[in-house]
Amino acid sequence: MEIEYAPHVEEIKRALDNEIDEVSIIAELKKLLQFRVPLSEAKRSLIKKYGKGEKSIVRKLNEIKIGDHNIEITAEVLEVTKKTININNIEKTVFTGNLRDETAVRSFSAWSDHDLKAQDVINITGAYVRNWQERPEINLSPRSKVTKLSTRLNTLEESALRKLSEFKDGDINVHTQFAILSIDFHDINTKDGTKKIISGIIADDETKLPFTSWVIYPELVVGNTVEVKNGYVRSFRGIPTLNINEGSKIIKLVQNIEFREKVGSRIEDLIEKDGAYDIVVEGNILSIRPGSGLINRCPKCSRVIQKGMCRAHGKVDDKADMRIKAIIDDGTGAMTLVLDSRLTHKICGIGIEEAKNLARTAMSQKAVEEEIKRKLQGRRFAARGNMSKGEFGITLVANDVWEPHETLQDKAQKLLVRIAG
Amino acid sequence: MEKIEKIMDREIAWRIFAHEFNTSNLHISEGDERAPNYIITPTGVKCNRLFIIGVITEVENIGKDNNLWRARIADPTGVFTIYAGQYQPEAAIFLSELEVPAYVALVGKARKYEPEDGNVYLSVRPEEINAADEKQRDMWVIETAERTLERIKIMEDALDSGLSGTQLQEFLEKKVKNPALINGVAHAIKHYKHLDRIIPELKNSLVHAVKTVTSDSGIIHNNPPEKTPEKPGIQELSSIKSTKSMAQEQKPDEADITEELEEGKDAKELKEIEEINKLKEPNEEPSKPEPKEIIADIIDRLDIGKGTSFSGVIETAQKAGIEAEIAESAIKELMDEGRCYEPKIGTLRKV
Repeated sequence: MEIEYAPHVEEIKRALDNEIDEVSIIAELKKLLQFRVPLSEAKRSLIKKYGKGEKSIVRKLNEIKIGDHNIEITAEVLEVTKKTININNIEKTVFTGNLRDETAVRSFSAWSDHDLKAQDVINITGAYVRNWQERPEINLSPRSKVTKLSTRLNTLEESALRKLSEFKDGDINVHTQFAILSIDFHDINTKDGTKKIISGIIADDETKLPFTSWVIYPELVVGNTVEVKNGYVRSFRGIPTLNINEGSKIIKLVQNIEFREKVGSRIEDLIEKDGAYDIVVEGNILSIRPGSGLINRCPKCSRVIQKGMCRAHGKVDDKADMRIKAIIDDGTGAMTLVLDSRLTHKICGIGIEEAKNLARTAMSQKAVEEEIKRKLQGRRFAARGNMSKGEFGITLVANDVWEPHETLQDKAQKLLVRIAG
Repeated sequence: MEKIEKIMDREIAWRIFAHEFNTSNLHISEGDERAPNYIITPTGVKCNRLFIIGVITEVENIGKDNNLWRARIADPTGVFTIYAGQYQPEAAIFLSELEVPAYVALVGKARKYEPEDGNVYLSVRPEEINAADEKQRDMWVIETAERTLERIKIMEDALDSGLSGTQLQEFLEKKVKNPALINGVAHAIKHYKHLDRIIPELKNSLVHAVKTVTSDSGIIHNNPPEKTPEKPGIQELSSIKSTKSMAQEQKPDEADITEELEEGKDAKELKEIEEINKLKEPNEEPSKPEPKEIIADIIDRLDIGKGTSFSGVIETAQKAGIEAEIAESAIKELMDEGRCYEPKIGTLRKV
C-alpha cells in the first residue's frame, strides 16, 4: 500500500524542494484519497498547502497570454504611476506602468508599489495576466514576489528605421523619424509626488500618431523634425502610441518631414492595423445598428441606460442623447462607424429636441432609428476619426462626417482607360 | 502562413454586377447547415453578402396571403432577382409600396434555388433596402466596375502564373489581402473552364456599364462605334444574347428583350425609346401576339383534361417559331399570373 504512494510522494517532495517530512505527506495524501479526492487534486492541494504555491513558469513578455497565471518574468520597469480608483465607494490606490524585457513591452498593475522605480530591473514570480482593453496586462497578486536585480538588461542593438504606420502595441526598441505637430504638458502622480510629462501628436509623411514622453526633452517642440531611437509602443484607447523615456535617444534633424494626408484609403488596408489616429474612411452605410437614434445616458457615468436605471448608479435622472452606430463598407472591408449627436444632426438634420418629438408622436423611441435608417441607409459618406479594434470589432469614432464630393465623369474616363489597358 | 478568415469580423458586402452574378454556377457551403452558403463568381468572389444600387423594374406578389414578393433590380449589365418573404418584413413592405421604376439601394444575401428540373436559380434575399437616386446608382456603377476590374486583374495574373494548389495559394497571398477572395479565386480557377471566354465578356460588360454613366442618352454603343445604327439597341441585343447563351442555365427567368434594354435609363427616356422603336419598326413586335399568348393557346389546345407535358409545349412552341428560352419564360409568366400551373414536375395544366 505504502509503495503505491511512493512515486506521488516523491513528486510532491520534488515540487516542494524536499522541505517537508514524508510521514505527514503520506498521512495527508491517504486521508484525501480516502475521501475519494482525485489523485491529481490531492497532490495539487498538498503542494499548495505546504509550498509557496506551484513554481512559476518563466515567460518572456512577448509570450504572455490573457489567462496565464503564476508566471515568472524578468523585466525593466519603464515607468510607474499611482492612481486612485473608486470601487464600491471605497478608494483604493493602484500602481500601473510598463515593463520591458528584450522581447516586448507590456503594461502591469499592482495594488502595492513593491518599491518600484523607473529603470529598476526586477524578477517577479506568481504574476498573472488579465485582459486590459483587449490586451494582456501583467497583474501582481498578493502572493507575487518581487526581487530587485542588480544586473541590467542587455542593451539592444540599434534597430532599423521604421515608419509610424508599422507600429504595433508592445513593440520595443523602435527607431523612427517624425515631425511634431502638437504638444501638451501634463502632470502625473508617482509615489514621489507629481511629475511632468509631454503628450502630443506626431506625423511622418503618411501617418499621424499620438506620443507620450516621460522625460522633458528640449527637442520636443512643435515644428521640429526629430529622430528617436529606443522608443516603445503602447496602445492607448486602441491606438498605437509612441513612448519616449529615459532610455530613448532623441536627435533633432535638419530636414523636415511633411505630413500629407492619404486620400481614398481602402478599408481593407486600414483594418489591417491595430488602430489608427485621425484617418478618413469612405464607404456606403450598409446598416444602422440597434441602439442608434435617441438614447438615454446616466448623468454620472454616461453609460447608456434603460428606464432610468444605471448599472453602477441605480435610479438616476436620465439624460437624452443621440448617436448612430452604423456599418460602413467600401466593398473591400467594413467597420462600425460611431457618430455622436452633433454629427447625427449634421447628416440627418435631426436634433435632440426633434428626435424627442418624433419619438413622442410615434410613441416609440424606435421611430428615430427608423428615420435615421431612411435617411442614411445605402448612402455614401466619408468620416474622419480614430479607429480601434476591440471586443465589438473594428470601430471608427468619428469627429467629422460628410458627403464626399464625387468626380464621377473623371473616374469613369480613367476607368475606361484602365479596362482597355 | 495561411491567412485565416475571422468569423468575428463583419462579412463585407461585395460589389458585383448582375451579369457576373448570374453567370455564376458554383456554390459552396462550409460546415453544417447553419454555415453560410456562398456562390463563387467567375472573378473569385466568395459571395454571401452583396450591395446593389439599381433600378427596380418590376415587383410582383407571388405568395399566398401577400407574404412573398419578387422584384427585379436592373443594373447596366443585367437583372438581379430578389425575394422578400415573411422573414424580411421590412423589405416586403418596402417593395409592396414601391412605384416602379425606382432607384433602390439594397444589402442582401445571395441565395440559390434548385428545383428538381436541374436548373439553378440565383436570387438575393434583402437584409436592408432603401430608396436611392440616380447619382448614387452612378457612383455604385463606377465603384462596382473598379472592384470588378481589380478582381479581373487578379484572376488574369493567377491564370498567367499557371500555378495551382499550394503554389497558387502562396502566389495569391502576396497579392490579395482578403482571405475570402484568395479562397474564391482558387475555387473559381478550378471550376470555371472557360475563363478565357468569360473574362473578356466581363470586361465588355464593364465598358458598357461605365459608359452608361458617361453617356447622355442611356443607349450605349460598344467599340467600335457604329455610324448611327438604324435600329437603336440592335447591336446591344446581339451582345446580350451572346452573354445570355453562356449564362442560360442560371438565368432565373429569361428577361424579355425590351427589359434587358432598359438598363440605366430613367422611365421617361425609356418611354421615348419605346415610342421611337414603335415608329421605326411598325411591323415588328408590337403587332405580333406576345409569345406568352401563343403559349397560352398551345397549352389550351394540348391540355385535354389531364394536363400536358412541359416538353411538348416547348416543342410545339418551337415549331411556331418561339425559342425554347422564351417559351420557358412565357410559361413561367403564365404560372405567375395564375393562368396555368404545374401539378407535378414536367406537367402543365390550364386553369
